[in-house]
Amino acid sequence: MTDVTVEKNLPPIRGDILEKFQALRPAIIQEAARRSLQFEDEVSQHGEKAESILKIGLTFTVQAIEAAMRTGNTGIIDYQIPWGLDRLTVDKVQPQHVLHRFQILKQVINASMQAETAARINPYIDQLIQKQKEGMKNA
Amino acid sequence: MPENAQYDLKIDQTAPHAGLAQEFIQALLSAESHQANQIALQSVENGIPVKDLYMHVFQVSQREIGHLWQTGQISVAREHFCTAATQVIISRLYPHIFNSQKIGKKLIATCVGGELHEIGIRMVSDFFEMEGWDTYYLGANSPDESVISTIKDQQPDVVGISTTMYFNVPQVQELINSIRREFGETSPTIMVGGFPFLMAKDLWQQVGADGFAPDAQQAINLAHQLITRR
Repeated sequence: MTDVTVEKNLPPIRGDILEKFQALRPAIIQEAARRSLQFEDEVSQHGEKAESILKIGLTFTVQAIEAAMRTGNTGIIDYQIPWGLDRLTVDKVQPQHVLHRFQILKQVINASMQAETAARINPYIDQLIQKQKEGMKNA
Repeated sequence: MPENAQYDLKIDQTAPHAGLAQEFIQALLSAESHQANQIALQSVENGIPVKDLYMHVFQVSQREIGHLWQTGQISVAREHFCTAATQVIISRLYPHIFNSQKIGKKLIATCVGGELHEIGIRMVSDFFEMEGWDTYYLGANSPDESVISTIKDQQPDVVGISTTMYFNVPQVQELINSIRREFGETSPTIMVGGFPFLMAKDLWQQVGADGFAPDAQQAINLAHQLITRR
């Protein structure tokens, strides 16, 4: 995946687009978790809890995207990344696996929404992916 | 063995009362809440201002404890114990807090619905009380309609809204919108605080607040500035 240049502040997303995203949230999380579970080498350490851990992580991630979209402030995403890099390894979740799940999440969102709508949301997900990469490089 | 050998504490040793903060945290981490209580009460008896304890001991210890959980050094149960013990200790200091001369200003302090981390806004509310404000502290997880009805009843000069978790930022925005819709030009001054606002620059403006302060003392200074401007 090509790196993208991200803006610190983006146009806020509210109204119809946000409502559609929120309505699709459970299905997006379900599908992203399903696809992530297919990479057994990335989830086997979690045993039977793998699906539950993935859904919790994806829920937190989608909530961060939503909070950033509503305000247009990508700083909300930025500070969660170093927090996650510190905390998730405690929970045996590896940073490169988190990055992969963000990429899966982007694929699922783009497959679930109309192209025009997804195009408004993508900059926020790109920020997430970019910051995760930077965090891993600096770790 | 150094006192902090067991835990990777990040206390700035050049900060005021750093030694006291370290002792206090060690007592909490050892589950010796009576010891932590003694440290706090004795400090006040020895002349350390209650505000200093809040800023340099309780606030520092809360941040340290959060960091210890984040890095997997303590369990969530230990983190909750430390916070609960600190809240009990704070309540024992109330005879020192609720005795200031009143200045005729009123604050409502609240967490948004869904937000359970209340100790930060409680400390801010106590600071306002110490400065002579009448405070009306609503605590954690306050529904929007209750906050609005309390504003109608109490007619505060300032409403302080707090969230610790980023996923409650939209609730902050919604509550502020609701207050502005309900009260229009007579809306009280609205200030926000909490970790997301500390970390994400300009977020306070984007949720529609009148101001943000990174700590309790600066919150009081800003509140005075904002209500003077009106």
